[in-house]
Amino acid sequence: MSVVEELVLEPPTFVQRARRGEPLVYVLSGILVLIVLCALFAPLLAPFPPNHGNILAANLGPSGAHWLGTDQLGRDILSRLLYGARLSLLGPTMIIVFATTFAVALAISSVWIGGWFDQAVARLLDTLFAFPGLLLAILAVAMIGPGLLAPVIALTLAYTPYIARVVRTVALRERHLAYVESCQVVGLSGWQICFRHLIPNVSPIVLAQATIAFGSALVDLAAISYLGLGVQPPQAEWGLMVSDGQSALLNGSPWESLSACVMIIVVVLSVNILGERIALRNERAA
Amino acid sequence: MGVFVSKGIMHRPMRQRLVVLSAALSIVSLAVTSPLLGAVAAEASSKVQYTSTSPAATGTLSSLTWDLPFGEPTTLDYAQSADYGPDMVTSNLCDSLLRLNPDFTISPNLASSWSYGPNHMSLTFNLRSGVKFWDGHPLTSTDVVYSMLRNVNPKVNPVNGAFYANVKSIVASGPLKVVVTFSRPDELFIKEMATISGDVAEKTFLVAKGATFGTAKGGVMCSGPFELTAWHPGNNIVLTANSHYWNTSLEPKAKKVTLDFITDTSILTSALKSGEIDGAFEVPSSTLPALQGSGAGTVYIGPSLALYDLAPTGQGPSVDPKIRQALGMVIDRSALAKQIFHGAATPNYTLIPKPMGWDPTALSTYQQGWNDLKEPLSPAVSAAKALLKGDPNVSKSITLGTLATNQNDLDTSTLIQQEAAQIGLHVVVKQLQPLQLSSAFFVAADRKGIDFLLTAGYLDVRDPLDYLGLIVFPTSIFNYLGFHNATVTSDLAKAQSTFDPVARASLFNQAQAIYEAQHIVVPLLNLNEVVFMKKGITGATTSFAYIYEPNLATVGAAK
Repeated sequence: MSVVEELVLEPPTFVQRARRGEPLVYVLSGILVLIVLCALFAPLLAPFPPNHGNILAANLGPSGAHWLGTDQLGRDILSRLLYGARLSLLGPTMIIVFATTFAVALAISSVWIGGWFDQAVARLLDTLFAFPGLLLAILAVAMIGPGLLAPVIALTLAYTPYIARVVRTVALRERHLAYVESCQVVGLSGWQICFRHLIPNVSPIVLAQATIAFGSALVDLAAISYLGLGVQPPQAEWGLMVSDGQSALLNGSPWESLSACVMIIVVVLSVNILGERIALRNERAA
Repeated sequence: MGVFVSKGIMHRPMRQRLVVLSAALSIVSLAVTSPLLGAVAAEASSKVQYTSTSPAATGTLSSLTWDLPFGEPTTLDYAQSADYGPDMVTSNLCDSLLRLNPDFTISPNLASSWSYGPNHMSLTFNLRSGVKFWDGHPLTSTDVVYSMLRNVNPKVNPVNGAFYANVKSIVASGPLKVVVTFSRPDELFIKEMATISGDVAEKTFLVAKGATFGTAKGGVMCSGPFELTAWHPGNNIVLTANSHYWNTSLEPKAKKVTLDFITDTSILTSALKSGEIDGAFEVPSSTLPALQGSGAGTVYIGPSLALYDLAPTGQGPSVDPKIRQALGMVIDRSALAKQIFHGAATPNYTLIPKPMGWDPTALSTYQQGWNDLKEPLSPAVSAAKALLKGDPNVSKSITLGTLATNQNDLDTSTLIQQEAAQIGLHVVVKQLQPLQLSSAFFVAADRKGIDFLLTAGYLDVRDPLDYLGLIVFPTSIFNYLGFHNATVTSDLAKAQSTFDPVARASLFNQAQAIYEAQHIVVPLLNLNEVVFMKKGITGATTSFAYIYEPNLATVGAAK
């Protein structure tokens, strides 16, 4: 069987995928699904309310009662980790959804309209590139106040040009392919061509970019919370937990910072590898 | 945010993974070593020393790197200083008329002697001869008078003017003689002359620099053991030893001192453990076990006049005495002192805590007044709930301003949030950067939207009237609530004019009973002074008196 036949005619079997190393994709996808489920069902899974603490039982090591120990205020670390998954995943999800939507809209419209509009969008993206995301987030926090809203707005602005530039490049190539011209010849409107053909054809690239950007957004948001500018205490969030646990870490109780770090690393590694695999698959397909 | 497209889609994830994996390895390393550190900490608790002084330094140092408490100072103008950083630095630059010793006693300094006139209506200072400013000009009574009068000159924006409230005039009655006359006798004034309120700078320099005196641009001209060499805003302050210092017993042991502005607890702890910083006052006690166990130096815990409070700003629910009282009833101070401050603090329930060395002859009177007030040590959640029943302010959220970089403050704020929630109060923590918090104490606009400030205030000297003068009078600088009670004002004014310690203590007790009923602050803890010096460094004062003495002059090499 030729490679072309394998790609076009028959989907690869599990064994074939396994030979390509794709079980890793399944494992990582499984981990991500598990973490999302933990976040969704945190109230059912967490042994304690996230803010319930007994300061006299602070900095306890792992035990039957507290699987990951307690933090410096005597709160159950496992419970906070489970609840923390909610805000830790919600923030980057919002950033990526908004940034991807704006990026695709900007990129497709600039490619389709072309001319001065394309130039204007290109300059706008160049301008946005000049602002580092974290700096923009700090500025937004100064104007709006600490919390999730300001960093989400700022990072959405910061991530949009990165995604838009890649989408624009791919869309530009698609725009000049014969099928678009054929669509125009048969009388399809610009909206119809963009929504039915152009966007679906660039979507694998968008998916790959969004997946990779998710990891970066999660790290950025965690960093903002770590600096005290994002999610505020007593809410549970992984970046905040890394920060909160620092003193305990120095004093010999690493569990809070460590567990939050591990969660950040697992999610970031998983989405990055998944994004990489999606991009690889796109390249092969191309 | 990283650039993940600039070099192609495939390269960036690989780099990201490497970065993330490196981070993972670092954390795993920390996780492995931290329990070991903890074990060491437990074994090394004997490395804590409870004392007002550390062993005297015997050797000199070419340079010393010290961390400033709570970061970069807002000013080095003694007349505008009322915070840890400014006071600590200024005390190394400028001499005060009298000297505060490590045990909080007072002794001669620029004034070699002093005497009261009839009925304590005047006070004469005899100045020491042979004292010179850094530029070589001799110190005269003209400099002293000009320097003292700046504390009541509104153009200077002085912050310690309350201590000059009873001063009628300050005049030079000779080249080395200054006479202060009072509108009414003032027992506190002489004690304040051992603090920054009694600092002296060169008149010609003060006049020449005007509003820029004490800034990074204008500099300072004083007679203290260190000269201000450079102030690099946002970076550090560099001091150089004054080789012609008049007080040979306080001749600096270090030729050059670099003062860093590290405020983050973890970074400071790491810098102290690694020896990058030679020492620090006001070390956050949240990492005491880590420092004790590090073997990098010695932790000293000394007596202090510092108080940890929730200060109402006079906004939102903080104006409600019931809210303030209820908050005070639910906060578990013993747990706070033990778990967050690791024992370097004791619970406190009153604005002026139990007698901490007030006039010994009136100790029993002070003690009696305090005994009448003290509250139960354990939190009273049910009673607090009952107190707030039907109070319309319960439904309003309370914004608590706290220092973003200090782990003690962050943990305490979160604990207060949790405990307030038990009685239905919703506390929102607003993290403030060091300069923001410092400004919030003095500028009303910077307190906007904040209902309480988590503060570590302090008495300058061992006299309760020192602190009360800043808080309970209608014109007091820290009276954010606008508290006004004619009896309190009258009793405390009388107390300040009373030189009989027992009679003064009685007047204080009467006023205390009234203002405590209003819960004008939510007292939390009496703090201990926590000082760290790395191996080979010694000589620092380890009591809170460091703040008004040339604290770095005695720091040098150990044997």
